[in-house]
Amino acid sequence: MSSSATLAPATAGPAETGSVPQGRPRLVRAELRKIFTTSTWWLIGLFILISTGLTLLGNILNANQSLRAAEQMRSHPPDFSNLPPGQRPSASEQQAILEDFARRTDIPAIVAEQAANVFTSGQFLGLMLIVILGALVVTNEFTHQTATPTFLTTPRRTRVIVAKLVAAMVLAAGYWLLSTVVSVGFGVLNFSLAGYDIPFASMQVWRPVAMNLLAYTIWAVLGVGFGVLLRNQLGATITAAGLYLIGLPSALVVFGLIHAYLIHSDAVWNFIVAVPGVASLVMVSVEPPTFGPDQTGVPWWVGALVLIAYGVVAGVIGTLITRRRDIS
Amino acid sequence: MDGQLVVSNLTKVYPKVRAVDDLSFTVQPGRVTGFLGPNGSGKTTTLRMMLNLVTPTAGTATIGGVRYADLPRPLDVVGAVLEASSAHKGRTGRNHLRVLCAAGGYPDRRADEVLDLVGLSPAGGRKFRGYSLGMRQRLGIAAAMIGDPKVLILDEPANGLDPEGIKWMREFLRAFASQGRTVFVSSHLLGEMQQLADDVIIIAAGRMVAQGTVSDIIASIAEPGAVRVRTPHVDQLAVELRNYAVTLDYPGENQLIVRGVDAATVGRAALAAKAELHELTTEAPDLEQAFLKLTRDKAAIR
Repeated sequence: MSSSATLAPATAGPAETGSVPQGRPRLVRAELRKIFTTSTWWLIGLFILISTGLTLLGNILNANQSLRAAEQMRSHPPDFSNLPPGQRPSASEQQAILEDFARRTDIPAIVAEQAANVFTSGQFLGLMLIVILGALVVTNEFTHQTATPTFLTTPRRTRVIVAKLVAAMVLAAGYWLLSTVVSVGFGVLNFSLAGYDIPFASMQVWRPVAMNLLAYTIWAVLGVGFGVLLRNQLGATITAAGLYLIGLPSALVVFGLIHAYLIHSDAVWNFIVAVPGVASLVMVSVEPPTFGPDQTGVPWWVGALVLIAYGVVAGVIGTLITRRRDIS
Repeated sequence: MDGQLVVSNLTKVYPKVRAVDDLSFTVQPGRVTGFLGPNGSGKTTTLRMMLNLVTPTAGTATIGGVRYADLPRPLDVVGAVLEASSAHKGRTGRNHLRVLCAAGGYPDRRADEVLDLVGLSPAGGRKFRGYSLGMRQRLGIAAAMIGDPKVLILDEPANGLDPEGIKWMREFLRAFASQGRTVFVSSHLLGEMQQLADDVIIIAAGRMVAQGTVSDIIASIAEPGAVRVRTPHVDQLAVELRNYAVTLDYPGENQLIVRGVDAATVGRAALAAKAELHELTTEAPDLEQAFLKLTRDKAAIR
């Protein structure tokens, strides 16, 4: 680096900018470029692949186990004829037992449910990585002091934070695709090798996969919100990941206590969907998951609405804080 | 739009300190203006308020009559270098600039052009982590030059630079100002500014202390220089100098330090005394001492 070669600033200005995208798309492009010019993108991708693979393995084993159990049960239907007449259940009782048997051995329904579970294998640990990604999109700016050039280039900070939200959602969708391709690929292979037809025409299979995409994008938004609130990189990522992981267990404890001491109605359990991690789980489940005895569970769309509400709140708070904050 | 900077009644109050207190000044294009003050006097806060990074408690700052936040394409107007390490450690210098090009709406090749401009092209593909402080400052200048701006604002650019880096920086900024553009550069070293700046603004404890051209400021704050004389006829010269209002020191054999008159007067006195002169020099006023004296009382730790 010699000093003599570099004396005068160029007299020529930057050339015409007609071919360069203007407005917000260019800010999203800049945000995506920030991710793709560091090792973050492939590290997150690698972790998503590993965590999807591990969960996928467990879910496939679990699916095959359920199907084997159902097949076994189906080969031994309830037979009331060899019971002594005095011990036979009444006609209505027999009817109920037969209905229960039919439900538990409804192989196509079990295949659909298990397929949905296998196809969304990327959710549990994937969402944790996505919330970390969202936090990194913001905290990187403060850790590496790039907030200064970023806001010098774009003094209208709302645009910057909106671009970050969009970029984080785009990235999350990409990782969802990666995780889904792996899950669906190996899942289909497994079910067809075992000789089961996956009801691809059924929304029962695709709705959870689509809702998993929604969960990925919204957790990215939540991550951005975390990053704005806690600028410290380590603090933001650990808090976000930790809250995600302990969200369900601690919610179970809290709601258990509420149910035991305050409100004895089983309907209390339905409000556990207010916990973001539970909402994401509800969204991608075929049957509403239940956490307490006699709980009816809430439908998937309630989970989706709850998560969207969290996303909107995180985005708005993040934008407002960023607009007011001094960058020093 | 010209590149005049106007700061009016700018004030920043933090819960425990008035970092900047009713500061007003203008900075003219075509000149290098130094922004001087002890550490912690509010220089950085002032620069950041001018650039919309810190919200003022009161007052305004405009660039060519427009607030920074209202500039449609700010990099076309102002280039700023505020921190020596404003880049991701794991990103290459070229990619750092390309990110800014994308955000500002400039073509990617502009990144290569500004790398070339600051002599950093060979290191463009290396990660920022491996850059020396001098290279980091050059990358900061490269980023500031992306929009080929009318104004450069720099916060302590010489901090940590080696003599070659400081020389490069000085020549770069002088060349920039000579094209009719504005350079506003902060420093806590008056000596450095004396070599670089045309005008200076001096603040302490967030308040204006002095502003004007460098020579005016120096004339107003510096003690008149002492005249050092070497002569084999010290006694004759000393007798002759009693005709003037001077104080004399005798630092060594055949030497005399004269205070109170200039070198020409001493030379005339020597001629009259028929004293043979071996040396006659004016010692430069101690700028740093004068600057410290000017800001001392106001620059207590706040």
